[in-house]
Amino acid sequence: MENYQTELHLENEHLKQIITIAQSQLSEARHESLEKEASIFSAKEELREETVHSLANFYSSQGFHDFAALSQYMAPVSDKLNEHETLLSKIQALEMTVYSPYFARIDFKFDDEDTSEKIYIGRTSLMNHKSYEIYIYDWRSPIASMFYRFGTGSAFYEAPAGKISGEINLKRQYEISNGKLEYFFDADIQIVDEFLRKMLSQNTSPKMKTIVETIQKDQDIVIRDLENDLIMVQGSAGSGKTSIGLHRVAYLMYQGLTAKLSSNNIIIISPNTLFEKYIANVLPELGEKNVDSIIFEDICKQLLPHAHIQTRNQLLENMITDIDKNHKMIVKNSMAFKSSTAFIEILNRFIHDIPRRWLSINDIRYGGKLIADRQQLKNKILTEDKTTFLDLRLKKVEQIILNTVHELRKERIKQLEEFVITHTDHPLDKEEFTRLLSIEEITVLIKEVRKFTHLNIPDLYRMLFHDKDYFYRIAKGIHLPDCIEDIIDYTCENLKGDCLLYEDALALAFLHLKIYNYNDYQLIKQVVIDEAQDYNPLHFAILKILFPRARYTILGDINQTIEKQEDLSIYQQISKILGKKNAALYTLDKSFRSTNEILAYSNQFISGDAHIKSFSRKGDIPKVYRASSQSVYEDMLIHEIMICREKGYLSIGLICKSEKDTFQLFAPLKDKLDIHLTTNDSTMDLRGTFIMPVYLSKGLEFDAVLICDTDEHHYHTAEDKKLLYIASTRALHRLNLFYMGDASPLLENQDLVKGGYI
Amino acid sequence: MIYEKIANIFAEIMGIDDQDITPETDFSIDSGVDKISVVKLIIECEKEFNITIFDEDVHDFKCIGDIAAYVSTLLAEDVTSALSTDKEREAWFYL
Repeated sequence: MENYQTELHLENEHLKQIITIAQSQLSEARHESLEKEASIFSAKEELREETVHSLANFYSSQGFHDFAALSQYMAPVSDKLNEHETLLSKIQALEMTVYSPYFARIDFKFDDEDTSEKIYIGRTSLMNHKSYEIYIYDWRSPIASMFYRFGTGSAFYEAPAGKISGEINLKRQYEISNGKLEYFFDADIQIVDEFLRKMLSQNTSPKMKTIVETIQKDQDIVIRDLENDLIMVQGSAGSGKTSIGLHRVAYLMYQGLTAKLSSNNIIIISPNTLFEKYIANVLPELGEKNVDSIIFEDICKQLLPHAHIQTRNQLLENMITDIDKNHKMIVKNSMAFKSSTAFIEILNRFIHDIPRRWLSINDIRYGGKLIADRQQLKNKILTEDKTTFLDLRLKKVEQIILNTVHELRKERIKQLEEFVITHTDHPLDKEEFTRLLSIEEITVLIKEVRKFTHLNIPDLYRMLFHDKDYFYRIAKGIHLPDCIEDIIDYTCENLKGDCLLYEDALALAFLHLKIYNYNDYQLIKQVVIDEAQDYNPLHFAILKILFPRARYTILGDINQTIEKQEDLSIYQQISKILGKKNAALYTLDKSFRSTNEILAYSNQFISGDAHIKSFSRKGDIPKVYRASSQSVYEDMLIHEIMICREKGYLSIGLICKSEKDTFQLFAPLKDKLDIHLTTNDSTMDLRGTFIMPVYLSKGLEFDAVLICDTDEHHYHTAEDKKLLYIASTRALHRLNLFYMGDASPLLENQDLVKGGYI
Repeated sequence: MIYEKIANIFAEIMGIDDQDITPETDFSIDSGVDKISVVKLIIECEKEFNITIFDEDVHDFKCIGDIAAYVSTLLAEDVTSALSTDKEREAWFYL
């Protein structure tokens, strides 16, 4: 104890010192920033004064010549803007440092030295800019990796110059907030369990938090992997996949400082907008600019701006609520087939066949003269370099035709002018009338040309399904599902309507990317994909074209699929489609989210023996409650919510099977207590009581979860079992199930509490 | 500036007040605009901005705004090619 007091005193002194240093650097930076703003202002002024004369007649041909001069004044302004931006992020980092400078320390004795060095680790680094003495190491620095990977004893890390070994004599963790040391403790195992348990037993926060203080060894390995260009993580529910993905992004940005990897070069593909909002805070808390995140449907919308597309949630809702078993089978099989590798091959063959079969090429005449022959045009298109995008090949042909027209036009104008003079009574406006005739003639011509140079992809796609014989010819040798006839009919029928099926939109997006040269995302170097089990081969084929130069981090859980089944082979498939040389698959099977009891209960919903390990934390055993009537059912739910609130749980989730069920249950409950209906567009502040369909709850977590309607009617298939798995693994501390009528046969543990609370 | 100039020219051709013209002013017979007036506008724009408007592009012009956009694009192609980096273009944009 005496020892602790001495150490506490030393630590407080050290903290004071560090904060003083950070504060002085902060005020320096703030001062510099003000100066910089002033100089940017004056540089802009100068620019304006020097260039105002050329701006006035800028959009004329003379103005153009002033332009080179103009850009000379511009360069200093843009340089200064850059510097200022860097300074602002430095200020932000220093503010964070003053608030909470570090969270850990290791005392490391390098092999070739006699005394050990104190290494303080924080969210960002702090150093003396003159002496280069480092006061705090960034958690992403090579030396800090030892904190995550080793206990006390011998240890090593990979520095740029090679492996450096030594011995860790002390591992200490701190809780510092608002510049005050709350407590510290020494640990000789990896991040001490007590500390982690304390962090985990806290309630959920409205937004996902950073986990720098508690990153585990196997998580750290994923975060710091730079060798592989495709990293896949199979992580069970609550294993921290998403956190790891985001911390990896922060690590990549830190590593990329020299390689100029910035937030513009990274993109996160997230499953829905709700999730997008939930994770929005993590990167800024890590001191990094937020990177773009996008949901897959937005990619389709970008590529098909005029199409009305069924959303994935609509598709899932339709599948979950479809009562007609046959129809449901077709919907499911249609989605599965049209996003499979077999269908990708069919689409590729179809694209190849378009110029041969589907272009309506005609002879092109101008002023009565044949300027392009049908067969010659076709040969030209077919013999052009096939690696060039079809659209570019067609545009090239169009330009060749137009060039001929432009050459002949002078001569033609003369003829038209003569015609105007002799055959009309507009001698005064002869220039205008001649031009009008020329415009009309060329308009007819260009429309004829564009019949084959401008492709109508939706129409073409329709043709693929329109003629079954053609479809089978194209698909020759490819294994087709038994119900292919039904799928073709179903697809044809839908393509007549004005709303594209989700999977048809994917196929159209793929065709677009294969036919048009689309390079909006050429700059992307890193792609992070969460909930990868939701995607099919076609999704990945699209991503491969969109991000040709990117490295991938792919996070998923084969047990959390909705309306489909997956196994580990999905990762092989992904790897094959993306075609990366160095790929690695990591497995994270320890859950940090739920209590032992909740995990044990959830395990009944996954098949096989891939059961999740828990990080031991105790709680109540989940119970299943049966109500005898609707009113008893509602009372039970309300009673349970009240208990949760009394226990101080901030976020409570009622999870229903479908959106339809959600609406039905929300209606009677909303008048009796404060409860929020969650839809895809809801703003996400996970504090309070929420009711939502299971597919929207994915990736989120709640202190307490109530799974509703767990009766035989709602949950009986293998797919339903996965839904129960997703729903039950959302809970941190408390989980209970409720139903009326007969219990779902999927609930192994039939130890039901009949009558419930009454 | 481009749009205002075009609107002025068109007002003169049509014999109306240029205040009555908006970028959405369309070239349909219903709005009292005949084809020959549009052709006159095309010819005058070519002279004013010293550009060539291709005959094959004219059928895409549905309103004044379309022509202004077309002319701007032609002129901007000259301008932006003189700026070498993205940052310079950005700085130019926010000037």
